[in-house]
Amino acid sequence: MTNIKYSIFLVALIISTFLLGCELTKFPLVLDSSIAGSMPVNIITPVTQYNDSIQITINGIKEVTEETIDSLKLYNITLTIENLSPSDASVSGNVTVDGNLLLTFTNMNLSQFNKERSIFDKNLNGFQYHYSGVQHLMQTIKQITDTQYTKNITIKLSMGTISNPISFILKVKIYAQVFAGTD
Amino acid sequence: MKITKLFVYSSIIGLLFTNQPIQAQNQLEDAIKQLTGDNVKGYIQPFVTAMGANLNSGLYHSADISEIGLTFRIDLIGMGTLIGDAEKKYRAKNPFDGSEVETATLYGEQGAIVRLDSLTEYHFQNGQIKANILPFFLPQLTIGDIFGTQAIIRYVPIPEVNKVPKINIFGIGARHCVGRYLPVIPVNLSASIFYQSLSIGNLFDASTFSIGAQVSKSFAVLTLYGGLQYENISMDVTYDFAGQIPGLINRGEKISVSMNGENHFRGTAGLNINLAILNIFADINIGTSTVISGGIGFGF
Repeated sequence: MTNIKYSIFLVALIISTFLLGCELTKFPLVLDSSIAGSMPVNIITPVTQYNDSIQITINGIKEVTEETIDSLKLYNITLTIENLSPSDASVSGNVTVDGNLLLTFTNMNLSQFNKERSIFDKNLNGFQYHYSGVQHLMQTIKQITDTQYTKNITIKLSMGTISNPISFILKVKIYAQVFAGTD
Repeated sequence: MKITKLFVYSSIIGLLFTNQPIQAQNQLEDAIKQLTGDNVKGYIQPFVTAMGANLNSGLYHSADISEIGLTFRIDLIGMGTLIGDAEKKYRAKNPFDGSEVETATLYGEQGAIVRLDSLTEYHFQNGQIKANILPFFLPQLTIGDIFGTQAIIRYVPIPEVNKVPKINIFGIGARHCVGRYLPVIPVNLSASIFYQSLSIGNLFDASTFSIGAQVSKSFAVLTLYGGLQYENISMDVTYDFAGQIPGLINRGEKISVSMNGENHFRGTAGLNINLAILNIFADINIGTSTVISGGIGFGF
């Protein structure tokens, strides 16, 4: 019996010795997340001003994990233009988020966005992003960390004079990183 | 009966304690699924190497194998691969411009941060296990001896419980007395070959192979042993990408990578104390990785 107790003690000692050097880190798991909204544009007759908007429920960003979320950070915003007609269409206008200016574009060729492009891409022509809109999105995303209530953002597209018929679908995608699971 | 009871107690203790790193596996799985195929290799390479070094440890505690006799021994083996600073960082590929960035492996600290512009930043995956040693525990059965040969078997089936992924380890091998072919020599000599398969959850499938030569010399209850070994671990990691990198790779896309451990040769030195049916042993293994191993065995 003494031998058995001694052996159990030895096993526990060996296991404890090994485990002393191994534990979970205090660093959160980093999870990529995104939400997207689509806005169909279909202008058949000439207009001097075009406005349309969509609402996106931003809480969807948190749905990548069931763990406790420590924080959220915006890291990218992209645009994609689908079903563009005519394929060489150019437009001027702006995009706002909750009234904060996010993008302005001047005679911008929409075909640049046939593939998903970041608004921070320096190679885009006729296009500029603005800090006010980006900062507003960053703050809004930060705020939903602890918020249980549904939080919507309104993305508004405004374009100037359009003389010829044009149609496309504008897809806005907001990327964030979720820092989760240290509790 | 007492031996059986003790084995059960010891296994439970081992499984309870190993639960900690196993639960980390689940967090590890979540972390891995965020990585592109370019970066997952660097992130988990130290884990693959350490798992291989652990699994290829503790196979023997003596080179003494009789021509014909009865050996029946159950060992409870703990092993741990030392994790150094070199295992805590790797060169990752920046998913936005393809440049190289030094960031944390799963044993590292906080992941690197790259900026897309002055406002936004992208955070590489953080390390998930704070470790100076990767521990592992295994039971092992040794039976023989027939014509100077012993069989070694390892089997660990742990079903999926709660968030802990299922783990299956099966190993089989043989050791053969080499001294029987030589003139009288003052030490025991043997050779071994061993194969193991390992699966953890749905992400990891691995196999190990080792071939080695052992020497031992006994002094009353004390046996000094050592050996040289060639070994390998090959691990396949398959998962659906859960990260989101615009324009690079789609969420849900299957990523499959094959990796090999970096520890291929080792030298071992250890001692075994034989107290009737109880054996206590410990050894150190030096190679690309350093492994310490120890435990107790019951049998004869």
